[in-house]
Amino acid sequence: MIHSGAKSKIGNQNRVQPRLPILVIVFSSLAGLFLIIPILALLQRAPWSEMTSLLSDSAAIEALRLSLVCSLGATFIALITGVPLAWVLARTDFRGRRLLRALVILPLILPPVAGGVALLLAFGRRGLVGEYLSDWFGLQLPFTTLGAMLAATFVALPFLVITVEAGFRSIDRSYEDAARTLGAKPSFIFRRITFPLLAPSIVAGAVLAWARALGEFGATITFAGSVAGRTQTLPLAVFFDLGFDPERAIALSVVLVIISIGVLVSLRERWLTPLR
Amino acid sequence: MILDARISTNTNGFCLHEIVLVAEENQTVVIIGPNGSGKTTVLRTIAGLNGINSGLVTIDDVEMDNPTRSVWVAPENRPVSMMGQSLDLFPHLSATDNVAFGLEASGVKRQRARERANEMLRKLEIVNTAHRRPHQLSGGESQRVALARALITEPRVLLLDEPFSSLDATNRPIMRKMLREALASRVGSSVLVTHDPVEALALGDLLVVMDQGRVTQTGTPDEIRSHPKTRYAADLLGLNFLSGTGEGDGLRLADGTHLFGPGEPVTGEAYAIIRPSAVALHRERPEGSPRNIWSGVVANIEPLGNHIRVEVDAGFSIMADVTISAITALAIAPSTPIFVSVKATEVTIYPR
Repeated sequence: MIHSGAKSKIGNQNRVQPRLPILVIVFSSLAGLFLIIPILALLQRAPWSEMTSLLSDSAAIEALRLSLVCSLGATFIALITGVPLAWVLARTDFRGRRLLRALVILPLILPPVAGGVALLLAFGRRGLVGEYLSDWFGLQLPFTTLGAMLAATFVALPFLVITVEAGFRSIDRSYEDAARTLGAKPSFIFRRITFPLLAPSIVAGAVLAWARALGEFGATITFAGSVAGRTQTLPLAVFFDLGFDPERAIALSVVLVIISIGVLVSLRERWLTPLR
Repeated sequence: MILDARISTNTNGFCLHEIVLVAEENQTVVIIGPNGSGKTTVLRTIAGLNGINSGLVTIDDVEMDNPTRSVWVAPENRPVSMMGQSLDLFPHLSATDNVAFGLEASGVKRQRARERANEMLRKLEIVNTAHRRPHQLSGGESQRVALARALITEPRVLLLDEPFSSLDATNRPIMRKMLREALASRVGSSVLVTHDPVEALALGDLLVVMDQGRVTQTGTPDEIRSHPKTRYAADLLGLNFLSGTGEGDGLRLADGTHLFGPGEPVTGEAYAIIRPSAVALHRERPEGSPRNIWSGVVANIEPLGNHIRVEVDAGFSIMADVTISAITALAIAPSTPIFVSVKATEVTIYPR
């Protein structure tokens, strides 16, 4: 018996490739080159021989450390709050669920600078909530590492939420129904059925969120400023170094490119195989 | 009586109207009906996955659903287990762990649960699949693993939703035999949903015929076989089904035709069934004994195993099963004018 998947593969092997229209060839080449050339330029200009000395400079190490702290912290916050939020969005039905979903996704398309201004108005010293945080708990967010971490969380959280929500939706509810009729309580079902099936989506969502947090610039500089050693993460360091120490800016950019390639490789199953 | 369900629901525009379903100890009740008749909804309601608007569901005289007293027992606390149409084997667990799931959920230690799961797999002759994941199982193996998983918790009520729907024709008889043995050796009752009459008659102690959210007939397989009360039930059994009003020793059909019965006087509204093999076809008006002779035209011809089923429009529709050589001899084709004859003794008439 021929499996239907195998059958279509056999068909594809002998299929005659249609001739592409000339305009498709021209414009697809333009798009491809436009995306690839800047990366090549960066790698070509990279001061490979001085790389280690440029990156072992204390300011560079400090920026790298801050970036890791902020991005990993943001990912952690996104995980513990985003997975439950994704659960609510995927599995419950209440008035305003669609509106809530739209608002949650908004930071995905909102210019980060505007997000930073909004964060300032909410959590700034005189902000909607910030005033009370300051008065009651003495908690200051702007120009602090925690503030930079929250700015990164603001832009990264939606990536985790939509990825995990899609994961929840892709799990057939009938597994959970079957588990219930077999006498399993909801917490047991989550532990033994839902979570294991959801794990790949959580990992993918976390990696995406982390990558987004790592590259965060606009909201951070607006809300937390660019204080070396406190809020100046890698992207901010690159931006400010470009003026007086372009070699180091390029070196740091190369680091960011290498990290991005690492993310792509770790998610290749998901992105490099279209429509699995 | 183990299960007593009287169900009325109206959820998402889908209605169940006063469904009554009662299962005694060691009894298998088969719900049979066309797609969309509400069979699966009944199972889900008994399992507690769907609610009811009015009625009562009890298992071993304990109330599971009673809307008037706001009683609803969660699925995990009902002494049931359900094998769904799509089987729903947990994709990330081995066959053993799938089967052990229900035991572990009720607190049995993993090692002990696995041992008992493997025993169950051995009993169903698929212990070789123990370490495989669902995607590595054949259709028949998946079916047995799902059955093992549902059986292992020893439910008082076992719910089976079209258990053979994913099997090909050659595997069905094997699985039917296995399921019949499994059901017979079990303590408790079972409710099975199907739209296959062979399955229903082979496995059911009691048949519940459903259509459009209602029960149209309940009875033993013999009762339903001899006195189907709906066209659907008669079609399942492959019988001609006619309804009309009693007149003399026969039936006056809606189009005015008189159907002669075997002799006893008939009064009031009544049904008649005729086996298609008892219906004869002729090119010329037949002479002699048959009292029922009608003229009509051939409406449809369909091969059916080793014979041919001919549907004739004689003012009402009637099916005749004839041999392939008879078709050739009679030179029958669609729209051919034809005479139909049925001996009065071949007609079964019973009150509505």
